Amino acid sequence: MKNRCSFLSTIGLAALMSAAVAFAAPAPGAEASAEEKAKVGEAAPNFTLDDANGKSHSLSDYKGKIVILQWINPDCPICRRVSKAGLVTKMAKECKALNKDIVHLAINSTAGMPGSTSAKYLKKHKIKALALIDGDGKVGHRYGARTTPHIFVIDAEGILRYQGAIDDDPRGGKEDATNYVVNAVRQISSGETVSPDYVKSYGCSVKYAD
Amino acid sequence: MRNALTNAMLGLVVLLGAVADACGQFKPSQGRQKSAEDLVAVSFVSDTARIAPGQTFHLAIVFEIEPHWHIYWVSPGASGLPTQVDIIAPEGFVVGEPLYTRPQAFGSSETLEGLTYGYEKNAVLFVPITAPVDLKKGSASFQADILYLVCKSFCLMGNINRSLTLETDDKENHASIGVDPILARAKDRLPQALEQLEESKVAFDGKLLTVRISAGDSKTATLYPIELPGITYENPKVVLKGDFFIATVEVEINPDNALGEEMKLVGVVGLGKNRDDPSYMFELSLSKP
Repeated sequence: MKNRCSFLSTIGLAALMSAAVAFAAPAPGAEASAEEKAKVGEAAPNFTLDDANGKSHSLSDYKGKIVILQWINPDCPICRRVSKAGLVTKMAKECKALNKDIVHLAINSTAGMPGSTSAKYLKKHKIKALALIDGDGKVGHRYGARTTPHIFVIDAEGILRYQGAIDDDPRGGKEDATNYVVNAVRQISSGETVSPDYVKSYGCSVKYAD
Repeated sequence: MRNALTNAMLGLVVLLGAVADACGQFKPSQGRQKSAEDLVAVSFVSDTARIAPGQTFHLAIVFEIEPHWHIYWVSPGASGLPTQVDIIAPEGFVVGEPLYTRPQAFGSSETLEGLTYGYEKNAVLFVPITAPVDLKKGSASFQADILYLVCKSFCLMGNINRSLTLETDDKENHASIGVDPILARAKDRLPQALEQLEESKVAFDGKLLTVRISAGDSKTATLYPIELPGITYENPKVVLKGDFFIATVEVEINPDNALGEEMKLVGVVGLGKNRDDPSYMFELSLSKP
């Protein structure tokens, strides 16, 4: 899958690359350089972000676990819809049933939004994910997160195996909706190739600072 | 002195608020929040007053959108949600696929947010309906379930229902179609088939999709690719060569991501800059013959 970040112009890319990003060591079992963009089938770029309490978390902390990255924005009505309908908690429960070694990180790249907002939002919707703050949007840019929600699934070796939509039900209310995250976790856990490995995400645009 | 201090503090608060808003950090939770229904007035109409047996007519969803806000096209681009309608029709009526008028582009391909496609100010979404040939005299009621995402610096989602009852005839009538000037103008914005333009053609070499289209009097043109599962587009470009526009876009195909749907390259080329200017739809199947 071609990285959709390649839409970035040379100018935008240069500006992005010149920005100082404090990335830690490469993801476990993977060799991603500090400036590489997220691409399905390749090492997921490592990152370090703070949670609402100011504690730092790196992707490399979750060595040996499947990691679900979910871009969120509590002000986005589509994020709220999938959370309110219980789709995210159901997804997390089903993923956990498939594989106990799984971590769910909810990243908020909304400019100017306090970290506590994400934590409160997750608590309100009973979503057991860790809220991480990407206020300057650098991790979001590196992953090419375009919408809220936008999902990335990383396997235990640190390889990005899926990115895109949470499910095939943008409208909501579909009885037999397919959750692509559960699908990816199931396939990773059983050693299969993840298919589909990309489905266009839907939702509000990520409200980046730049 | 106290008043002066109070005024200064108030001024500071107003200034900070203005700066926050200008920086795109407006919090919709502050103050009274408008609903999607406040921002978009939706009406459900038809281009025919009386339905005749076997007649094909259009139901139309008319959106009047608050200035500076927009809703989305069938293929919203980098983000967003397609404006959608589900029609529930009486038994015997055949409901066609919704028809979207030419969109306009928002944002920039120079940023990660990317280009999105949709409508500002107003939009009309048509749904073709064919009546049964054994239609009886009386009336027919239609329900429309409409979903839209309306965005500016933040987004709101609208999901509303509208109903419409039309008279029916048991024989052919002479009620004219398209007399409503708003609907007539909107119908003119529907993309026409590219094949109807002489010497226009669509070609795909496995990597690059090329659409050649007669330029007529137009000086500019825009390519609006429609993203279907398993197909991604990058770097759409249009150049004028002689009497033709040559629109190109890089295509990446991954059948594993097609979700079982037919793989085809679909899109619209719009001539000129305005959404009232002519536009043409192309479709190229990737299925083997």
